[in-house]
Amino acid sequence: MSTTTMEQPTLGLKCDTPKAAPIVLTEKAAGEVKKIITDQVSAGETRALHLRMRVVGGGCSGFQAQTRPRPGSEPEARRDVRDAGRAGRDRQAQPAVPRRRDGRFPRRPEQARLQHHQPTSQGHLRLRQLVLDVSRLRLSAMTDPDHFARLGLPRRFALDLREVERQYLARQPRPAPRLPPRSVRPRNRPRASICRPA
Amino acid sequence: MNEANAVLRDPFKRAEYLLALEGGPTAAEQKEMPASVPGRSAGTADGNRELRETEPPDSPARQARRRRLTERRDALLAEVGDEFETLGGAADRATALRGIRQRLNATKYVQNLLRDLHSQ
Repeated sequence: MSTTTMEQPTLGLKCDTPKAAPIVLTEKAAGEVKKIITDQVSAGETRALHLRMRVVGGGCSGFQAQTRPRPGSEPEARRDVRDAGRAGRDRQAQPAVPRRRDGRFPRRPEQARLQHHQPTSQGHLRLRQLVLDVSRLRLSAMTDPDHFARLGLPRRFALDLREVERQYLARQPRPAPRLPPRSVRPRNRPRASICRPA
Repeated sequence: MNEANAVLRDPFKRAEYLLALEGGPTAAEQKEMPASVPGRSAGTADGNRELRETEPPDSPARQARRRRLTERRDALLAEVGDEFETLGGAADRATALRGIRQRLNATKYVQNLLRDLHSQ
């Protein structure tokens, strides 16, 4: 396939509409297009087919042209949806905001950019979680006994320190009975044996 | 359980805890001390510093000062106890709680003086 390139006479803003460059299809490309059209017609496509060309990144010279016949009466919205599905294959059909929130640390510092798309209900979910946590905290503060109740003492300033100590010791877990050290235990304890009758 | 024992055995911690349970202001919310604090006199902290610098730890002057500060702290805690006892029948509960907070602030002040006196 051969294309014609046009050089701009001067650098500056591209205000003027560039002249349409002539596009020449090689015999091989034209045969390929005809073959695709035949396939589409044999598949039952009755609408008029048009040839659509676009230039995408890649290829040996930095760009490559793609031709794809598509029905002329296809709605624009439907085309956008399909192009979005081909985002991984066709670079030009990427969504407007790329998906960069993938749960990893960014390789470069954060730059100014558009806000990441989030479902509208997500904010409500976060708020609900926060409110639930607060209510749980207050509930636990209301249900947990205070230090006076924990030691079974009246809730007042004047306390008998001996009573505090007694209640504290009464609520301590009882220690397990101590076994004698291993060196003190008898080593030659009688063992069970099976006696066979003679 | 250990924390409950530690809080209730110490009169100052017990008073702070009881004031929080009653809904009184914290020390950060109200930092005033009563005007007639027994231990709050001009030069108390400076006097402590002079004693630490000039007198040995077991000198009679330091012991006397320590005894006076201890008596002041105990007197303040006794007043706090009295105010807690009358809190149930207080006409203005918020004012009573603020009064307890002021006395506890003064107690803390005297306790800090005692701590500074103990330190070399």
